[in-house]
Amino acid sequence: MYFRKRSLRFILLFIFFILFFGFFTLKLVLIQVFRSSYLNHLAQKQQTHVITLAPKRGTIYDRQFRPLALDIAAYSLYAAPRMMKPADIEKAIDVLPRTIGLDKDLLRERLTRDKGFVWLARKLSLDDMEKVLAFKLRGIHFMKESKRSYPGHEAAAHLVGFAGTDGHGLEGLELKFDKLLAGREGAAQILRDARQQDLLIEQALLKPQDGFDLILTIDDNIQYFVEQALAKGFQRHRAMSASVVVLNPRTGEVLALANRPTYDLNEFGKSHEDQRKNRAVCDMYEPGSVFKVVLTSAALEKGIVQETDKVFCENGAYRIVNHTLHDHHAHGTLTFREVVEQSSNIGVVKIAQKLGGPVFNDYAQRFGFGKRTGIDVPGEINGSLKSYGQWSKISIGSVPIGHEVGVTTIQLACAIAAIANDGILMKPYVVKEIRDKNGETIEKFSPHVVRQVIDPATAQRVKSILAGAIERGTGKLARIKNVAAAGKTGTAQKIVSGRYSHDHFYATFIGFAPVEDPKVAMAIMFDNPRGTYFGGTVCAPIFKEIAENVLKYLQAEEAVQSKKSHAAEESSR
Amino acid sequence: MNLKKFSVLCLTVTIFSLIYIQMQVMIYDLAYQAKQREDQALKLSDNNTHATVNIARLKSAQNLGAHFFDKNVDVDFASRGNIIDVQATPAELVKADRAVSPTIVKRASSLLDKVFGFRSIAEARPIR
Repeated sequence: MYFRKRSLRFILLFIFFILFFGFFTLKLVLIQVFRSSYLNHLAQKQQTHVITLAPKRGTIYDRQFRPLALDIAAYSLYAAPRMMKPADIEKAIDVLPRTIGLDKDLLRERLTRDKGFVWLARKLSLDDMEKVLAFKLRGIHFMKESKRSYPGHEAAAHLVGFAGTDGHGLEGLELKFDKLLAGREGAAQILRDARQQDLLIEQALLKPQDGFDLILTIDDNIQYFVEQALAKGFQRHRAMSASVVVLNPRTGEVLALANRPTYDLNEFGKSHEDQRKNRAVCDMYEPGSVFKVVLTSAALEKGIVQETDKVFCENGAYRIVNHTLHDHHAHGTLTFREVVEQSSNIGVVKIAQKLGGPVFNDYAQRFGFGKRTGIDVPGEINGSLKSYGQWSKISIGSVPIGHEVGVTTIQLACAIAAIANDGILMKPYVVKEIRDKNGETIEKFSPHVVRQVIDPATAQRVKSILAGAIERGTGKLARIKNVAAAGKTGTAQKIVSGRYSHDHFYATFIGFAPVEDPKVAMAIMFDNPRGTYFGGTVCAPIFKEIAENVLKYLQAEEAVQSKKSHAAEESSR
Repeated sequence: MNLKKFSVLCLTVTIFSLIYIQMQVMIYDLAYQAKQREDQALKLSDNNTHATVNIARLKSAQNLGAHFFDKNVDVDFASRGNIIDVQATPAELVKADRAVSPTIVKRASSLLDKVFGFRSIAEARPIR
């Protein structure tokens, strides 16, 4: 009996252990055989993850390789409200507003959300990050991103443009060349530890392709001269807006382009649309007397008139159909040269009548008016040049003197540059070269000849007349010491409420220097200057200031470059 | 299999397992160290970029111009009249200088020549 009881317990225990091990064996088989792929996948998901590798955005340089736009590291502040205790939240609300200027109410609203992740501030500087880190706030972290920095602030703001918070271009060249500047994202599979921290083990990698760099035709120093002169003039004359374009007349390279009002590229969020407008290419206006260079060129080219031919300027009043044309100063008889120098409207219109509307219009088109120049910045408009078929009977008295026609500052700059360049119209451009991060050239842009507008001989004659406009005419304030310059002033009434106003004007000046070997050509426009409003008094002094400084600078640059090349030759010998 | 062999087998497997685990731990430890180094390198790279931006900003024409060409400062660009071109190499300049101010040519001479000779001018020379 005792023996039977013992063997029964033993058997029961044995069965229990068999069942026990059988259960675990079954479980093991389930895990290792039937669920292995699922569990493998789960482990993979926990232990690895794919991260995107952000490419470096390309840098924008001036022609001397000074950076105008480049990426820097920025630190975006975020919180994990679910991980934060009430005391942590209160501490953050107390510290962050006074440290980095966050709004207290907004901060409270975000930190009390039932979320695992909320942004608090994007793209803070290194200093701000270090200030926040010093407080060791629980639940508050930083994520590294990149941010666009513009060392020149307002310099060439309308050309360079800016990239938004997500790193994509929104204005200017940043927008136009966004695809080239942005590059391409890469990816890497990273192992994580139990705390979900990334380890440096990459199992698979797609290398990011960094963005390409842009080298512009802009010279930062010349841009500075232009910005300074424009800022002073804009403040002095309290104009509504203003723009200046400086070109190399031989190549069409844009050496500087500036507008007012302007804005700081590093604080584009605080600017408004009016400040961001690139007026040099997208504002159209009636140019006034600067447009007389078209008539001058056409009339000399066609042999309608010679410089010394006499023109009777009707003593200041001339009837065209039912409209009376006036000169600013009444003139009697002037030579054609004097008509242009003194900017007589009547003298010019009489020559235009001899020339004929169709021929004049053809020359206006040849100079590039009424059509985009093709400059490689966004937002350019055509301007407005009516075809001859759309002219009214009094158009012959308006168009040659710069009314009934709409131009942009870049079109005016190209036209005067064509005269400076022996009659050859060049296409303006801003981007000179595209390079990759290793310095290899991806694409190079060369000067492009649009057309021969007038003969070189005619261009010389026009240059001589325009030089006289500065020496003896309406452009005396544009005279440059020891350098012969040529140019034309313009003052045009603005149309206000459908009528030409006597109180609102556009003041313009176009010119180039030196006359014998032009290095710079420029167009200047002021919209509604207060006090004095003539092109000769508002814009001509700005031309003088810019041209003087630019020519001195270019001379010094030439001297430095020739010394460098001389030294290089000596050392190679 | 007897107990002794079984024990040896278990021990061997255990030791190799421990070595394997130790190596895995070392790998992860090195990965952490490498991550730290990477973070340091990235921080230095970021600081470098910030310094580059600051230098670019300070060197920019806008900044330099604001400091140097303020209306109260008497600094201006050199115009053509301020620049003198010297059309000579350094060697030519030295030669030209010698031609303008000739020095007495020293000749190698014996003691007799010095005492009884007429070529050199007898003069007291300072001791240098």
